[in-house]
Amino acid sequence: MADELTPSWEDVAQRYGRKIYNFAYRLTGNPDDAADLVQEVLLRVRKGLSGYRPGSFEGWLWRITRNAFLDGVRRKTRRPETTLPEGDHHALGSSPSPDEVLASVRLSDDVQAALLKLPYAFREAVVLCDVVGLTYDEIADATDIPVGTVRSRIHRGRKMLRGLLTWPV
Amino acid sequence: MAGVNPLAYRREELFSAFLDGELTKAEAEFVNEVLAGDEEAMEEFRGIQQVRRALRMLPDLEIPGWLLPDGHLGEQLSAYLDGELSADEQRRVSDHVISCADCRAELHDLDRARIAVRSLPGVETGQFDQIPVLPRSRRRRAVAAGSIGIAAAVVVILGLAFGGQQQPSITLDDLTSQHIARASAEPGFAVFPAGIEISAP
Amino acid sequence: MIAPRLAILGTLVVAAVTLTVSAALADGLNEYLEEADKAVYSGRQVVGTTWGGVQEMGIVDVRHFGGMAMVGSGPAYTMIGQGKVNALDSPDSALAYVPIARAPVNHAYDIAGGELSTRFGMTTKTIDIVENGVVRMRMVIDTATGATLETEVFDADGNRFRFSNMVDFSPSAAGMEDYVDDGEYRVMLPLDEAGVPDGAGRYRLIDAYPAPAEAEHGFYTDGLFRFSLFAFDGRHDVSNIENGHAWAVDGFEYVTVIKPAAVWVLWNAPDQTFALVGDLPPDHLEEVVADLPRPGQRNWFVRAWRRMFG
Repeated sequence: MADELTPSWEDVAQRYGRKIYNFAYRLTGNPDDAADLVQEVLLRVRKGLSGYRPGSFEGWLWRITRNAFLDGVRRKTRRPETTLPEGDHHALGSSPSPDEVLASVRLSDDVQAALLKLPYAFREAVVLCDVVGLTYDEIADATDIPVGTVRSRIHRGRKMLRGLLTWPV
Repeated sequence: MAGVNPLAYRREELFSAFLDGELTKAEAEFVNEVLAGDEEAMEEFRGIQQVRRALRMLPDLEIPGWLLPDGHLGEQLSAYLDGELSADEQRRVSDHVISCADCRAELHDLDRARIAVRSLPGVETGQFDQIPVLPRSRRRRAVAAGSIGIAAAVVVILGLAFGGQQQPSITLDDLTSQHIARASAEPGFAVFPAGIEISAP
Repeated sequence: MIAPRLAILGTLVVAAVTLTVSAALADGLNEYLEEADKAVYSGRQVVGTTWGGVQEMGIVDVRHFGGMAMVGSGPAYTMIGQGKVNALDSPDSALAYVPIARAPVNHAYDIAGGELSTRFGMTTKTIDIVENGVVRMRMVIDTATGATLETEVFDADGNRFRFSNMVDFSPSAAGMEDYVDDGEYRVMLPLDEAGVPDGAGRYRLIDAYPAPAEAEHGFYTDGLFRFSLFAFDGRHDVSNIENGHAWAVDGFEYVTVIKPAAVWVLWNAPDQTFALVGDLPPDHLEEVVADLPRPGQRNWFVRAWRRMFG
């Protein structure tokens, strides 16, 4: 089924699986949700590949990913979105450890927790830009909003994060 | 955020886009100019830079191995049993299953509750005692290609339109759908009967 | 070199407004509401509204499963639930709202009652939802499935304003378990800023969305009843709307359209046209329109609404 222009779904899984997983993980803070999303996206990719016409493959993929994510969000029973990632729940506000590795783990947990406090539209824009690494045009294509709004949402998301995270003087 | 200077705000947006390399040359020069003279602006710029860096420093997580195809069939087994693979893929699956004990075991691990029994093409049915098939909940997770098979008939939604000659006509049923959809995200939507009216044909 | 230590500031308030939440009672009301959403059942439901001598009634088939309702008549249905609506015979209509999660809202409703009785040979419980000692809503709930078999909404004088009644009932979903949702939904995310008022009467704006003809759609609730307000720029003629009735409040004239399960109120303010739809009773409606731009009034009323975080 795969030809030069259309990748097979195994190629897609191998090449993009990790990115999709990270996208979902950063949006939800939850490894189970992230795994579910990867499976759902790969399933939709497999079904969609036969109808896929060569063009912007990544654009197509990220549209699918985003729609699958939103469908998953709607499918779950109502619960607050502020889920802290599993793992070490250390006390926030405690003094930094001299160990660099531990400090960077704490850093990423705090950023993740702050991310989860953003409104969905901002969080999605920031994750697509800074985690997935899409350009503003690619984000606009995947989310069906104008580039100007993308830029505004990314900026406001970052500004909000800045307000949520304190930095030592 | 009351009292924010809209001009300053617009300017800050440019800082963000500047860091992402999304500005035109002229816009980028403008930003450089602004930053050169203005300590406050520089402060703001550094703040955004810090956040962006922190985000980009988030570890790139490893995807759990079982999500990736590694030569074994995994998800394809389910899709196979649901009849969702193309003929070529079906043959690939059956060829693999014949020779792979692990995947045969996985097939047997799947729920045996379903009534219908499918046979693998190209493989004699006798080779497997009973082909377990998927539980309903798994099926519901899949994005189905088929339709629900409900014959088209008319649910009459009273289309009340307002507008006028100069204005586009707006129907109340479009607006009704929006209200119903949003309201259905609230707890208790089932308690309030839906705002969809049925009138006798 | 030690990486900068980050900490999270305070608690994030997601909702734009804080409300007085009666904690224990809020749980009670929301519990019943959420139970009803999870129930599995099917049947036929009669719904009716009576206001100002006008009565509108309708009858629908309902199947309820997995937090979704399949509502319709004959073989064509609309799927509703979890922010989604999908009229199965017009696939382009599929909409999915993805609001931001927030704590439940409760203006000031108490739960009373709890007497047991029977319907269809099943044990049922009658719950009153009370505001300031006045019963505003009564629900008869099947204790086995959690389904709401009967509802009544009362106006301030205790007259029945709306009712619904399951005239056929079965504690199973009549085949809805097989439904697979393959709809192509248009996703509606909340607007970052709303031009609609952030409250009217006891109702608070929860979020706002784009709407047809460049209108804005604000969604409001008081914890029990809910309405949507569509605000259009410019003057759209609402006076000739079919089945419209004149409704005068405080000397101002509105057009209302009464439906079995909801009421529409439409009017022109200077440079704006409003269309409000909801399940709230008439006295609440009066309070709400009093806080919105009045028909014909000159003073401009647009408050920017921003989400505040941190």
